Amino acid sequence: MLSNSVLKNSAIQSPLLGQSKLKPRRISGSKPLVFSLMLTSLVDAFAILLIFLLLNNNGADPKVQNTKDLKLPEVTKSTTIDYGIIVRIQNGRYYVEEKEVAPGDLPSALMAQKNIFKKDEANKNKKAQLIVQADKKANFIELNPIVLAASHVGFENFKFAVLPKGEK
Amino acid sequence: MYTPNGKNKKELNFELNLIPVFDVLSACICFLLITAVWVQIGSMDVSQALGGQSALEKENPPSVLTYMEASGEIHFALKDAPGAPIRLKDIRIKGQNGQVVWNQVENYIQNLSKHMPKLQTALVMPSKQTRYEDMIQVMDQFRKNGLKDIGISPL
Repeated sequence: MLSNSVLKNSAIQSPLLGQSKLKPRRISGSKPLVFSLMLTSLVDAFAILLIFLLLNNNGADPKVQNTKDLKLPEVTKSTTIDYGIIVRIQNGRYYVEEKEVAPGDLPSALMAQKNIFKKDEANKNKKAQLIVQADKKANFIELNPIVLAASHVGFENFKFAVLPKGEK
Repeated sequence: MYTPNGKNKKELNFELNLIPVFDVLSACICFLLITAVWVQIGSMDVSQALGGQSALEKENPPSVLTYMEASGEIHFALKDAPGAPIRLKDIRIKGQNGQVVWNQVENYIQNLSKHMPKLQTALVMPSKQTRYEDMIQVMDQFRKNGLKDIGISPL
């Protein structure tokens, strides 16, 4: 097999054949110069890690990012976020789908986003949802414009982005 | 390999070069580690009533109104619940040092759901200075105890 192998020209000596007890195949009189590293276990561990990461790499909407300066409240009972129009409140500023909006312009911005959502063929049978992302220390007065605007525009479902307890 | 008889003997050892495999795996893993989401963000679902239904059309289900004050006081008041125990109908849980006393709130909500299993609706009415996390905690307590329809009243 080794005579037909691509390793024929590159191998100095075979670590596997050199380890054989019955007929070790080693260049006579020379010490092994090749450092033989058994990669099988390493490949095994990597394969398991890869499978774990592949299985883990799904679920929550990737647009809802957990930023460092926005600490979400923690709850014990939560559901996963699948889709929705994201509204973020950070440092007193409002962002609708990452675009800054003045508090007075929230209803029009939300209406525009709702229309975009409805126009998408993929959302034909879905109801528009609002995802609200705010810092846990924020007061309700900062959230009030969003709740009011969303009610005026006709959002029935709100989703407040939270962290399941134990995750930070 | 030649034996003393002059007959060829087939090589039985088989070597597999694992280095390219290891290379591909490490590239895949690096990519997935960089793009992995380690923190799963959940959501607290709230449904808002938008009207469009006549007040005479349907009997109102029992509901609990929750008034949250800036001082940490929470006032629970049952509405449209004629069969509810009197001690649960209207209760105020005072805050301590501006903070909500969560164990008392939990106890009340647990008692409420125990004595009124048909209670599904809660309306949370925060004040201007009510903290967002306190509002979420109250909603979480309602959800934990089986109340599915939770709404928020704007100021």
